[in-house]
Amino acid sequence: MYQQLLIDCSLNSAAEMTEPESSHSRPEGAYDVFLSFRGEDTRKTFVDHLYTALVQAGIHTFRDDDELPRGEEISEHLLEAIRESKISIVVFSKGYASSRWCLNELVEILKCKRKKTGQIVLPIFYDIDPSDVRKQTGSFAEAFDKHEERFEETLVKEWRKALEDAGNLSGWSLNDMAYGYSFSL
Amino acid sequence: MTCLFSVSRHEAKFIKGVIKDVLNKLSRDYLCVPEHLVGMDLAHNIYDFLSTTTDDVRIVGIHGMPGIGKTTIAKVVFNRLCYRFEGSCFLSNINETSKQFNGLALLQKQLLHDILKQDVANINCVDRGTVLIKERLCRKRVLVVADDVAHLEQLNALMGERSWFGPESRVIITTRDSNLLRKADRTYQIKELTRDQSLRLFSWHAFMDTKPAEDYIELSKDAVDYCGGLPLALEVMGACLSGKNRDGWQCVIDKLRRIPNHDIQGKLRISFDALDGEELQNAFLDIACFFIDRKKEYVAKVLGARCGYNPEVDLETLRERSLIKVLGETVTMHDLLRDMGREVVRESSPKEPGKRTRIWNQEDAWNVLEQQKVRAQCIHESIVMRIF
Repeated sequence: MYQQLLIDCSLNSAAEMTEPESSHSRPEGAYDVFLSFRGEDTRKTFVDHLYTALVQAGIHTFRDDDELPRGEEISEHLLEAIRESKISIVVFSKGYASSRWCLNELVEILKCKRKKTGQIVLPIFYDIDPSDVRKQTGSFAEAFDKHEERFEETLVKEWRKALEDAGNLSGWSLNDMAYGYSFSL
Repeated sequence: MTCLFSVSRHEAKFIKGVIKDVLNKLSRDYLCVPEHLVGMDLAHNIYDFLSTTTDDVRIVGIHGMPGIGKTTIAKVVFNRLCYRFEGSCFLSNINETSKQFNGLALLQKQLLHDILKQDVANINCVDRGTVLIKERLCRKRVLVVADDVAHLEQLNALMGERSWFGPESRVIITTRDSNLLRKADRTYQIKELTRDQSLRLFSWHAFMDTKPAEDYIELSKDAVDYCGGLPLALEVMGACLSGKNRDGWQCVIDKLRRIPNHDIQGKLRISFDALDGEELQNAFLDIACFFIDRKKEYVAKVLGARCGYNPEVDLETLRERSLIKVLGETVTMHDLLRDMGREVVRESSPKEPGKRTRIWNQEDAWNVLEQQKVRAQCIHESIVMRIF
């Protein structure tokens, strides 16, 4: 049985407002998609194509330029772009975990997913097994060996947790149908 | 070469799939809402309540008189929330649709189709639809709006229990009858707009501006007063006066004082027609004609004497359906609903007040009584003639 709570708020819609409101259904400047990826692995190839296709489909997309110099912390500009996006697409590639900026981004993206803004997170496993992401095995294991030497334990734990969560989300996997792939690369 | 070609083709196909998925997730059926909205505080409150993360299913009810903006507020909240859910569905005009042949089953089909994003076989009976909804949606995190619900069976066919939808699902019900919102976690009654808000909304429709043109300020105030803070009326009036000159305005406003606007009345009358039973309709008409701003006790006594039972239940029903208001001890109603009620009576015999069921203004009453005196005299004379 559920509670039959009847709270008649009788909220008067009378409060004064100076400007007529818009519906706020699609706030200006907010992105449809935030793209998170490891530039070294994918920028010149897959992500470029994906980005172009997204833009062509009229999807307002933010692509972080990780070739620009960065500070230690994730920038306010970047945080805002993540927070204001409706969907985050995370392209997991072999080198994703070796970049602490990528990992910090991912932590932030998952925070937005949990918050009341409820962002949709869509992982793409680009030539990588989702279980490597989930359990930090394979190339991710090597990356984490290095992280554990360099960074604080709590931070590394946070990254691991983020990868575990993201690896469990349903997404797209490119090596499923990778015929011809091993030839060309 | 062949290999590279196959890689790019393979990748292109893959990207196509991703784009389709993204578009699907983004285009969660945004609904068109008017560009200029006024008094959306309530929408913000509802949004805040529904967007708080909880595992349970939350149900919100929005009620109020016709034309007060229930559907608009539901749309605004829906647009802001819909992209966060696995599936969303806005079932509009439920009462209207369910009158069609197999209407409730059609609505059930729409609910399944919109949320699952795939074709659903025809549902030929409501009981079957109920089972399908329960089976297919109970693990989905969904947002569902049930717009304009008028009967419990409509709710029962679409969302009989909370458990029909998955954890964290959200439901919004709009209705003119607050009695249907017993299962809601919160109910919100929409109130009339303030004078300032009314003037602003009216101005958008009449002048495409936030305030009236200089020469039209007084006329605008008259028009706005007539609407009594009802958004529907403000939009209809604004649109109908837009582009007319000052004389035209005066003419329309003067006419309104005698004969109410047809478009507004039509919408309000739905509520009157939906009253089940003659007694309820009569109680409403009596109040519209005679008992506005009277003490509830007095109204109950007079109505009770006429209908022969305690009219308390009827008064409560009228209140739940936003047709009357009980402020403290006083019974009252919106001016436009009063005009609608009186129009119902007037229409029964537009030319001869004597044949109407109720007479409320002095002039009509006087004329009728005069005629009856004449008629009484005639009868008297004829009787006298017959005797002799």
